[in-house]
Amino acid sequence: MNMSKDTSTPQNTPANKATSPSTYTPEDFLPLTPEERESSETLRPSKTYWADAWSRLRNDRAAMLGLCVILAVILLAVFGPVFSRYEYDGMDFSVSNDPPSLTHWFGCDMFGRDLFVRVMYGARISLAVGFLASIISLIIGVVYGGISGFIGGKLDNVMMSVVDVIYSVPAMIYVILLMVVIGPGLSSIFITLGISYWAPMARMVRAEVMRLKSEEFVTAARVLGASSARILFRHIIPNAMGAVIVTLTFSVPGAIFTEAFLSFVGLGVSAPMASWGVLSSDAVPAMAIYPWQLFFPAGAISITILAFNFLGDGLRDALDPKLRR
Amino acid sequence: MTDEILRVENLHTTFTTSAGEVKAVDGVSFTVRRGEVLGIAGESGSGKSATMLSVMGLLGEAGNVSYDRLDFMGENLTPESVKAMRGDKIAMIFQDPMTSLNPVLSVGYQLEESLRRHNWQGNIRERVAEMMTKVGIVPAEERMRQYPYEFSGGQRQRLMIAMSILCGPELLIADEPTTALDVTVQAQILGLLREIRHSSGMSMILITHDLGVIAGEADRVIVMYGGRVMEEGTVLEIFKSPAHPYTRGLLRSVPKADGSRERLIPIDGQSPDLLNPPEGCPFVKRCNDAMRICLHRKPDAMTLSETHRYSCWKGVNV
Amino acid sequence: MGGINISRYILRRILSGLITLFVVITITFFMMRAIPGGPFTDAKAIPEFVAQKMSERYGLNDPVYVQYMRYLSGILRLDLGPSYRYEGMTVNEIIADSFPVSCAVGGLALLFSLMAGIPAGVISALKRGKWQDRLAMVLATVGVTVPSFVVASLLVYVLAMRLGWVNVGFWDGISTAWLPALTLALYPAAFISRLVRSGMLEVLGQDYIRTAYAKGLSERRVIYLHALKNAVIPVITYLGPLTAGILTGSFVIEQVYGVPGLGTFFVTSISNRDYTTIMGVTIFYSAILVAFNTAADICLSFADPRIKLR
Repeated sequence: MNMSKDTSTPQNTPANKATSPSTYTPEDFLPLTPEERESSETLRPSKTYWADAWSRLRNDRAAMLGLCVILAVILLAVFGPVFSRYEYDGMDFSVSNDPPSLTHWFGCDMFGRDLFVRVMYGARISLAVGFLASIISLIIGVVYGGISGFIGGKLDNVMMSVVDVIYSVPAMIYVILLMVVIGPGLSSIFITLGISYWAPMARMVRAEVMRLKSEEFVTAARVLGASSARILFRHIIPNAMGAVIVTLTFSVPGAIFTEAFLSFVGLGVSAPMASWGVLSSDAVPAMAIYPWQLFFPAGAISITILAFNFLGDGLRDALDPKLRR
Repeated sequence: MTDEILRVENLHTTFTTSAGEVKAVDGVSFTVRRGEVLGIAGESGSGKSATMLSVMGLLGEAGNVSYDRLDFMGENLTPESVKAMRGDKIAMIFQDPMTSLNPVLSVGYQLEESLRRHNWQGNIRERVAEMMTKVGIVPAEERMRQYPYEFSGGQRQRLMIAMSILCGPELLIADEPTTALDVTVQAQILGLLREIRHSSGMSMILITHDLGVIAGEADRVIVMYGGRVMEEGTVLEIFKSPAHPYTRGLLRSVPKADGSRERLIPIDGQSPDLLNPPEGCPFVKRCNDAMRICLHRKPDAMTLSETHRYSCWKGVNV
Repeated sequence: MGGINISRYILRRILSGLITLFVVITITFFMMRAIPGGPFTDAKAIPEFVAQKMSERYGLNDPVYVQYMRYLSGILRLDLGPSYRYEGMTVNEIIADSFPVSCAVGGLALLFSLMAGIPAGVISALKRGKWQDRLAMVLATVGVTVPSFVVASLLVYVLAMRLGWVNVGFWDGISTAWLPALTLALYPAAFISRLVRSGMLEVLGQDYIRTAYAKGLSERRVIYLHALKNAVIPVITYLGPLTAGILTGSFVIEQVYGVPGLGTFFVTSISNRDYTTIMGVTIFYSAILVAFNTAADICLSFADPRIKLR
């Protein structure tokens, strides 16, 4: 901007010499028509929450990689054993402890069982544990946290002190105690993990409900005379879904990890069934001689947990409107 | 010796974001004289805060700042020299007093720290207590030990003011100092700032979207929109004879205190998207007097008087 | 605010810690009672009359509430009772024997995780998007996702079995503690670095950081005093779960490295169905954890003055 002190000219002239008046045409000074005004609008298209989240997730390479790996692992777990020549419990002592080869891709264990099919079969168990345990803890957590947050007051205080007590003892110790009490087995793992890991979910749902309860659109709905049930199901739950999905994505690998951990301390599923955790823990004693027996199942656990974490991170970024720019 | 405290010429600031380059400040120039109050008016996103943060060098790595000239008290301000000036000769206070103080440090510590940084000659504790008393936080000795959460919003803004004037600055930049406060507290804070100005003779840049505050406090006014200066003049010129369509719109949209019963007229539309700024005048979309040329070319500054200028094609006589 | 308020807060935290511990003891006790059959019924080697004798000796024929009261009063005297499996040994003796070992490994792991996690998080936040950040975050992601027993087995395989650089499988004090401790520290270090990074990034965007710069403070002072003091608050909150993670992590790590710590003992007593030991060690672990949680809460009240309000 020119700061000239030229005030002697009563008439207004452009002060900047670079654009001299000669370059203007009279048409330039015609008023804008509504069409011309419209054409100058530069509005960005608006998207719905989920469409926007999906497009953000699609652009997140790590998250998409995670999603693809998870889908691949699920497909292998479901269909892999069906198409394999071997059975997960089929023993063949002529090939016991064979290294990886064309006939046995991941090698064999001490009973001559094909490790590839055992790892795929283990994926069924590990994934089942991951998903089922998460869903059980999700249901308990959502109901518990939802009630606590929605009703609030004294009930909320009491319910949250219970959660605080649960929090102050490591869940792993509960799990071990419970497993000792109900005895090992697949269904006890589901139950144990489900009833031990709901506290974080409950806390998260409660916080989310408390936050949403004070949001203006909920107040507006209340003023309009909506019932409590309607507010809960139409306004609060759909809006809390994002946070719930993210927590769920992180709790699946948590459960897979815990199951593997339990197998390591001798509380896993029993033979001949084998989860990834059982496979790896069985391989540890002989790891110096047959390292592949450990590496394949351990690699499967690590890659799957990594994939879930990538997806979870991506989902959190995609679903959290606060981070939007 | 000039009585110019601050001179800014052709300031440009852009932010690099994931979505692209944002032009926050686009060729802004102004001066501040000794003892005067310059008001910078404009709605949110008009670039008024970004302008002053650029001058202070407070934008960090995200902001790219360039200018033709930046002088403070007759000396060139470089990114290095401004660091030593900050909190000493130039001070700044911010919009939200609730979040502007560090929650985990006692307020006394936060005030003393400023004096220590600028090598205050004299008793630091006494100076802090003196300034706290001056802004009305008493008993100072006791309250120095407290933490920010123990103060109300108005008190925290008083603390911010005390902190800013500790070293006796020549220029105080107040970025929306009263926006986050209750109306009664607003008046107290503005009164306090006025009092300090009168006793110390410091200059002030008052950034606000509140035209009422500008009218009451400022000597001269800059009206900003879309990162550019739309109009500049004395308070009287801006309020009595606004020249730019935007300034007029702005004035029509606020009630007058003179009892007149004119209708308030809002300005339709919203601020321009600074990611893809309009090629021409930033106000073109919302301007009732827009012409074709406004779409494509930025208008030049028209001079109305020694102090009064505005940027609009409407003033050009072909 | 003043001393009275702080000591009242501390007292309240300690009291609620004790209540938690009481609840845990009660639940643990009744859970162990709920196991079908007595503690000696599943052991085939023991003849019926011996089991009967042992039940009598350990007072298992008394009504449950009498047993409960006896157990509680034992705990009040810091006596966790006898082991059912290790003839002539008390749970106290077992803990006294093996806990110092676990404590050395765990303490070292705690130290490692803080010393690696906090600087990594700070650097990564300050160099956001640059290679240092990426490297740190890739390592952190791997550290958080790869289970510790996988890392431990891998390290044992490579360092001990292939390269022969370290010896594992025996215990020789601190010199054999560092590798298990490092392995144990991997997950918490990774978690802490992520915590500090996100905390630091959030804090650096706060208004009070701009205020600090506006005062003319140097970048060093703003980052290492004003920002870091706020950004480590989540780490203090994490101290409880951190300890829990190291405790439970030790079950597996000690096994893989052959460390004769309490973790190993606990796992053995699980497979032996040594109920009093399981119960005693669980309660001991909970006590440690409650102590750490309480200590963390108290530290928090000093680090964050706003806490005292609650």
